[in-house]
Amino acid sequence: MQRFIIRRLFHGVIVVFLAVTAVFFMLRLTGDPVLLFAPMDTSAKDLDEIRERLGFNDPLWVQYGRYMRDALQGDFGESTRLHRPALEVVLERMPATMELGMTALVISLVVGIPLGVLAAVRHGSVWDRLAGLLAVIGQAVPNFWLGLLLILLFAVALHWLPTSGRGSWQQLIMPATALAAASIARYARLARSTMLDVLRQDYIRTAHAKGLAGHTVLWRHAFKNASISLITTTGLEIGRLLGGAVVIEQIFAWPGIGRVTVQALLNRDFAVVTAAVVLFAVIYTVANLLTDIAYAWVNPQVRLS
Amino acid sequence: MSSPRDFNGIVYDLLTGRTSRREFIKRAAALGLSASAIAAILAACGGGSDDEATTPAGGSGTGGSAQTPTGSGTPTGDGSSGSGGSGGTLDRLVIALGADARTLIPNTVVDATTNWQIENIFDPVLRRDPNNDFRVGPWLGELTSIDDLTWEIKIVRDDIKFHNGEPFDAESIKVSLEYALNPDNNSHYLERYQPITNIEVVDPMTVRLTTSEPYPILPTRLADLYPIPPKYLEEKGIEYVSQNPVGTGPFKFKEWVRDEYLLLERNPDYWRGPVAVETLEFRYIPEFSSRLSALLAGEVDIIKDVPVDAIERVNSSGIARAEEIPSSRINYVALVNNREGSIMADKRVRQAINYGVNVDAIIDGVFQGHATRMAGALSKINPQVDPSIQPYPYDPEKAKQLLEEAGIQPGTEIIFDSSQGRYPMDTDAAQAIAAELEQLGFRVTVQYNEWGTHLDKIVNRRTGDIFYLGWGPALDAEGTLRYLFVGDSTYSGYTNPEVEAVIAEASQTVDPEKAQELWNQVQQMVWEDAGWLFLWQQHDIYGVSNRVDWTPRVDESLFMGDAKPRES
Repeated sequence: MQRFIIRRLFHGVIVVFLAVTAVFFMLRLTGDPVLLFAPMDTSAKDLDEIRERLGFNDPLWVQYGRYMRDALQGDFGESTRLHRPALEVVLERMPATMELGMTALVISLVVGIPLGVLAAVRHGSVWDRLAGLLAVIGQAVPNFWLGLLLILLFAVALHWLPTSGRGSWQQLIMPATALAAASIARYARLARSTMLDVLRQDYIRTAHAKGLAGHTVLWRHAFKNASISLITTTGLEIGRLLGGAVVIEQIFAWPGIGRVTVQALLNRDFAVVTAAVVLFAVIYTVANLLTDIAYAWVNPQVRLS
Repeated sequence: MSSPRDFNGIVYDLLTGRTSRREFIKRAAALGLSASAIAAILAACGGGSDDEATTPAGGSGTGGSAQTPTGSGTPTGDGSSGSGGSGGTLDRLVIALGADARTLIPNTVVDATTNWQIENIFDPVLRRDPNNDFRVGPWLGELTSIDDLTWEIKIVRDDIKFHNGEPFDAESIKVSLEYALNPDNNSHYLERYQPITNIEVVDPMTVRLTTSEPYPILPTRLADLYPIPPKYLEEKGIEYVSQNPVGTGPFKFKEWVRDEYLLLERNPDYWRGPVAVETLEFRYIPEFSSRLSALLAGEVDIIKDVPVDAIERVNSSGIARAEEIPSSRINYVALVNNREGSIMADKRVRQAINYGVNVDAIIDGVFQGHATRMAGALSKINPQVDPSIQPYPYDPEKAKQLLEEAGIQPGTEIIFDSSQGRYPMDTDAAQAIAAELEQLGFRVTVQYNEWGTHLDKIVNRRTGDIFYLGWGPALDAEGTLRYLFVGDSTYSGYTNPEVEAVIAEASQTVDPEKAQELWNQVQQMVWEDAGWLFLWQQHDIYGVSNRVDWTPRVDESLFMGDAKPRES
């Protein structure tokens, strides 16, 4: 187990390293950040002085080497726009993104899985078809569009919920729902198909034949086995939710990492974008590691080695 | 509450012509002055005198027991302001912005979003006056030119205080300039104040500035100078002050949560009298459609850049209305003449494009009339525009003839770079322009760039033959013509040594009339030589809540010192 974790952590470091390297070079191909934060009437001479001061005049590989050296010591540079440490700018948004992401995850689990189970148990019924329809819609509708639609309906037309921002639980409902929609759909489909699979197994028939109560068979025997595949997807789902949060945070003015990243991208605030990518990569890696551990815990047949 | 000061403020406004007599009567009545007292003051001040009075000598005698309307301000629930009269207050005004301020210490970054917030906490030394064609006029101070190299700032009143009680005086102006001039502070204004070589505090009310060369643009520059309290800055340090601003302005800083909101509260001791808004909030909502929704849901009161196709929706909402003003920002298509081998180096080609593109039709079609055509390089609302210049008439025949003379074959390719999402309707406008150029026989490829890429291409001269750009706020000749047409000219794409020579002379000429003649000459030369495809000023369209009375300004300022509840 320990060796497994160490090896996975090592893989994680490689993933983060590759992500940072790719982002570092790609960003620098997209334009000169100095032009975006200096006023348009700055003279060419002054622009060059700023570039010199920030080290943008050095060859790319020199900049890369310097960046990596500092990053290894925990220094991810300073935001050129805000004049604050980039990691601090990103880390202070963590709680907001976690709040949104975790709420969305809980919603998708709580809504998606029962929906899928219901569809499997009532296979072929109206419930099944309804769940199928919801799943298709949830996966097909882009989340930004759903977000705007929710705002128009619940905030502008009905005045039930505030349009945007963070602070009260009412403000969490729409962004979390919009973010969760696709996840709900995926969980429902997966829960349905794995449950259908499991319900056809011999041991379920045996359990029924033994005269066990219906719900005991369903939850203790069937669902427990189906849940293994649901747990594996959760690691991936966390990654998807983080990605989706980039768009949702923008629409709902949610002050999280996604929003700060988009803004930093538009401003070519290299240090902040890179710090955010590092953070995303770390979260993703850790989430996947935890998933694997949970997987082993639920299913003793899986040996982590 | 400081009643004598409020009183001073409105009398001062009356004396300096910032307040009309009618407005004065309203405000004085709100302060509790009797009708006879008001009449007496009006008589004493002389009807509509234009003389630049200094301080209004203490407001002696009259109306000693004036009361501010603060304490018992009209309660405004959520929604309509139920205020009965003109003296009412707005308990809360929310402005939605797309982005956060970069810092809250002034004199540091040139950034519109940052400035919209700072200008409500701080007062500038000089300010553009909407009642005088937006020319720079007195505010905290008044500027006089002593000779070509010497200027004097006189502070208008001796009782102006910062929010922390520190007095505002000549020293604060000096310290603020020195702050910007200190290279360690990385101020964007450093370059703009660089010609100032000596800052002398003559007495607590007077600062004398010496410049290394004649610097006629100094008034414009001082309209960007927002004094900061010297003691506070010294004690707390820049880092702290940039998050806890203290100014002299109409609003005091309360709270700033990055990427969420900035909360300001009314300064009850404002030297010009307390303003009508009690709490001012800037809320950051990056997505435009979400800002519009927030306006229509009644959550925010002012948003900027309503697209023309949403005007109807705003106006018919019953909750807000669209307010429109031609922006001082100018839009043009640069015809890059300063690059080897460019067909745009030929004046006839540039003229042909000006004759051959039906700009009026694009304004009607794309902007549905919400733009104002520019004749030359300066807009109509620029106080230094040469009004004799008329737009190129639409004459496609003449255009084709000019192209033929220049030896341009039909099918000649033009690469056209346009921004995408930087200006309202920019991609639609670019498409329309491209279509017009194709009518002239060009084969046009339009490249749409995200803003950062667009800028990068322009500055590094990697654009196509022509590119679309806006420049603003452009409210004086020098700030527009010199910065665009002298030196590298990357943003204008147009180089002409003769034009540069006249600009060099004009920007050293302090005498306003002589300078104007030279600026007129520059404008005529650029027009005649068809330096750009001259386009339009976009109209800034704001969505304003029906409970708020506020008039947008051409310089895009969001100063809320004059916002009031709307009488319905």
